[in-house]
Amino acid sequence: MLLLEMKRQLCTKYVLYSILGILIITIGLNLIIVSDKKDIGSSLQEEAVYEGDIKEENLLLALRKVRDEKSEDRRYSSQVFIINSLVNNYPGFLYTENKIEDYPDEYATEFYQCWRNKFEFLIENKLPTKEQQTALNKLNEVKTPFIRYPGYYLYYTALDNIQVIFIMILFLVTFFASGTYSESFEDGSMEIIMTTKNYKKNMIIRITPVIFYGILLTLIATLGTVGMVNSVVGFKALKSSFKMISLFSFGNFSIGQGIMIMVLAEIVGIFALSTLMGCISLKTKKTTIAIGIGVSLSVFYMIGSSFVSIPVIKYLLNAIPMASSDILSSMAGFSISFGLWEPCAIIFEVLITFILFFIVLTVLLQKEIKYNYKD
Amino acid sequence: MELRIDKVTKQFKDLKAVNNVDLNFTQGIWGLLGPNGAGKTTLMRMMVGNLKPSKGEIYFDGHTISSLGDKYLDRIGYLPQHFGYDKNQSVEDFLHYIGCLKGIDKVTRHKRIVDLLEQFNLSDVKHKKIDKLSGGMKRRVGICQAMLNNPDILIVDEPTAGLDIEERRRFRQYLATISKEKIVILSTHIVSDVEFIANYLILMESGEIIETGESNTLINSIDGMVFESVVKDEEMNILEQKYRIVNFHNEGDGNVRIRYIANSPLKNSKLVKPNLNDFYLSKVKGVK
Amino acid sequence: MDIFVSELKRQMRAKRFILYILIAIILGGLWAWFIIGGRTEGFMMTGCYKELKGMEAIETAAKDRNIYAGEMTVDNFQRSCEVFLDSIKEKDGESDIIMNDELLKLAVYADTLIMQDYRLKKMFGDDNLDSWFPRDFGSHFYENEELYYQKLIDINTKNQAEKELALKMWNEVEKPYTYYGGFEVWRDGVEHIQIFGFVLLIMVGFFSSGIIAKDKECGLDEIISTTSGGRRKLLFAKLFIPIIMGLLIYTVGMGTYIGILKHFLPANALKTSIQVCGGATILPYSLGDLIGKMILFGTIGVITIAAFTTFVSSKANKASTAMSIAVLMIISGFLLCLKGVSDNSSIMKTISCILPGSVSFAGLWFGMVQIVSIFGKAMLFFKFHLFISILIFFISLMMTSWNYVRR
Repeated sequence: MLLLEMKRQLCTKYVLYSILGILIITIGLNLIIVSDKKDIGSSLQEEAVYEGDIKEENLLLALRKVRDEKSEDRRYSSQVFIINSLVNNYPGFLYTENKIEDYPDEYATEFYQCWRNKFEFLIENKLPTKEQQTALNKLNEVKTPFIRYPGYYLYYTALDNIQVIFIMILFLVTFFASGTYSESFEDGSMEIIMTTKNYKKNMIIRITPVIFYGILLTLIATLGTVGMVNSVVGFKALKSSFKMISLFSFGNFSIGQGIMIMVLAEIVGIFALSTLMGCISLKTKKTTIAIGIGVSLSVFYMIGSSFVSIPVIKYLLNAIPMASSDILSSMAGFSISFGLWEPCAIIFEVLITFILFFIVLTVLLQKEIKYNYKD
Repeated sequence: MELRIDKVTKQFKDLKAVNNVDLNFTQGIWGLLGPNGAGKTTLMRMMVGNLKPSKGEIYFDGHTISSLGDKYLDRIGYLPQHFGYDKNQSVEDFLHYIGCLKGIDKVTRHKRIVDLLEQFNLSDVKHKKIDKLSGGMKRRVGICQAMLNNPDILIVDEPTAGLDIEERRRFRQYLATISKEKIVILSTHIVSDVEFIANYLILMESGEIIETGESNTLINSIDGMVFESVVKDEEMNILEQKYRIVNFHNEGDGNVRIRYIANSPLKNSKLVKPNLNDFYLSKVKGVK
Repeated sequence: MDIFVSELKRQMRAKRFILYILIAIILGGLWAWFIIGGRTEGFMMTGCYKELKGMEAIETAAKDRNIYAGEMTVDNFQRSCEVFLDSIKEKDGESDIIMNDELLKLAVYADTLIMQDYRLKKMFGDDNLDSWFPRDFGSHFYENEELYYQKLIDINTKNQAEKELALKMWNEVEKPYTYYGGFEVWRDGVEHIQIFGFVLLIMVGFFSSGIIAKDKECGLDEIISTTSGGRRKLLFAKLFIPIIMGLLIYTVGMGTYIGILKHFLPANALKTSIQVCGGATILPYSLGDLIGKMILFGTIGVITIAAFTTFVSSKANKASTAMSIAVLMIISGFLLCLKGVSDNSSIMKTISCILPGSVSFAGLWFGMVQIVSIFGKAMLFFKFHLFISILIFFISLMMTSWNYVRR
């Protein structure tokens, strides 16, 4: 039955077009990154000289070469770029130099200590007091040295692209899931399905194709992006520390693992969204109304999360499945939520949403079944 | 007044839904009979201008309906197979809306709607949402909207589908009443719908016209070919292969009374007067 | 006309009409409350006006800042420069700003000077970044502005035509600049016009998606198309009802929002030059002009999305399909415009222009130097976006007409 339901829901023009659409958007967005870097080959070779662990002595050498000898050699400038992040990420906090000529040797010789000092400073100044201790504990768990492989910087834009596509995917899933039950009510086929023996089973498995559809699109977007970027910089770049994307972030994961966290969050979001939309679809019995509610909820998150900083409202917003597509900004920051690293808290909240709405959906289906005297 | 279908063909990709159809409609009720998928709806949709023929032309009083445009549409009334309406509109609002689209001025429209609601026993429910009405009432609203502009040509597609016997009878009665000085084309696969009211019959199968003419003439064309006989139950299989059995009734004791069409009857058969059902079944699948 | 009214009555039946209008009004009200009610004021993290919130904070800050409001003369800049530098106290190698009444009154000037200093240093690579500006810095404010913008134009233009247009725009900027207290809240309010417009755009998409597709879905179209008025005459209603409803939703929603802002915020603050409002721009507009332009973009965006969704509705057999496509277009437009600005990618910007309704976010092209060359002719990017949108609007109308009459 599952296969038949999958076939019924997935072998449609909508699915085909959305797969093509996501593929085109993925290629289109990433082509902009890739096409700009046609002559990157020699740079990558240069950068490869100091690939792997970021060592303070190498940073010092690079700083001296660039600052004092005005070297434009890529092998050095690419390392000074990391020191730049120390100063320019969260400008105005602790280190205020804006020109490389002003950077003291200390930024290189004691890079990790400087990084820790600034991170602690940021935690003390940007986080509420009650969250500071947890944040400091998280900071202590971060292992040094950081790792870097040539071309990792292409992932700045690539990760942004994945995030934009993930948002679109969640909207596509919203549209797709909105018809889970309502379409059968609208076309009258529910009348027939309700009279069958496996009605209950059919009702429950209806969300499976939606989840499959969402995961499929997520994989297309992720693999497409990673594939295109890797075609230029190679797979090694994925092993670079996520700190290279955001220096002041928690955890010891690489860019590749960061992408996996994004994918995991998106998949959890898809699960939650599928059940949530399933409930709405079942309750409203009208696809257009279900779309309206689903879209409003996601737009509410998009706008609310950008402007509201009140913790209670933030917790509520993070429970909306759309929050899962926004995990990159949480990963790049150092916020604590519910005493947890924010990305974990978001995934946890969205997971609760999934469980909650799965229960609600089951209850609603039971009621529907009882209503139809089928139990 | 004459509606002429001239060598009309409608092709959908690899399916010929209507194939080289020639027909000439004059005043009276025309029953368009045929099994499901015969092409009746496609033909009707072409007659109302909702589909363009792939080949051939449809003429109204000597002019192609495409050249007549709105003038032609002003003279037709159409009730499609699936009668669609706005769920949020009441009966009266819906009729006003369609009347307005038909270009009927407000005063005339109002009078006409009152008359039609009265005629079709819908006055009591005129403020009700159409969605809340019974199937029969909905169909009556459907015929009301088709009649709003007092059309010269009324085209109704499977109007009795899903209606109970009483509603079907009533519907036939309505059609008979309103058909004076009009061309009424009624498509159906239910023979009894047209048996007593159609002046003319058209039989369609696989997109082609297989018979057309006056009802009585067509029915009489199989006079002397319809018989009734009592046979043994076990003979049925063999008989079904040899004859076109149009009806049968279990008489008990292993006997079955059959009504069949044949050129040479079985022994002990009784010749009976043919009806439309006999004619339809004899033509649609052919006499065996 | 009879058909138009009849269709209008059907589409805008009381319950549905009231729901849309009510949602627009409530959102407009909440949005304005969010802008005004949540407002706090301050200067350089000094904690002035710390206890105040909402209108109280706005009024108190505006009262202080209005002492030197109006034309921002060089004398006032110089005065603010001196007052600001005098208020800095060095302690343990760190500098603290000690607030005083005079600095509060000159806060806008000081803020503008600090911003100019930062920009100049960024652009020209000044060595003294960790030191404050010189004591006579204020007296050279407009010369420095000239210097900065000339360089900005040089960097951000690709050919002579673009450069000439950019210089023309910059030269039209009224100098000295003008400001009136309360402009900061207005500036936030103006930025939110686009975001609120985005929500209203989705509402318009929702409404328009069913205009034709719903008739097809329920089978009513089969009857409508056999009536004499069911094609050409009804087309007019089908084309313009979504536009009218879209404009109504936008007017009511945005009207409530702007109305509340206008009621509570000082009107003269709208005369403030946008160069004072934070971001660098070469455009010669005041905040009031900016609101007008944003609303124009929003209006064009609304009619474009209404027309486009009607076209989709005429092609789709289900209202839900039309709704999904419309929403996806609006969301994509919004995201790609933001991405176009953040990545400064011309490809992204061009793609976002093509998406129907994205012109509502054309205000994003007001910052820095956003100029595009078409066949050697330079054009402000927002005008190009506007042009593309109007084109999409007419193309959508034509395509819908073609589909509807020939169905």
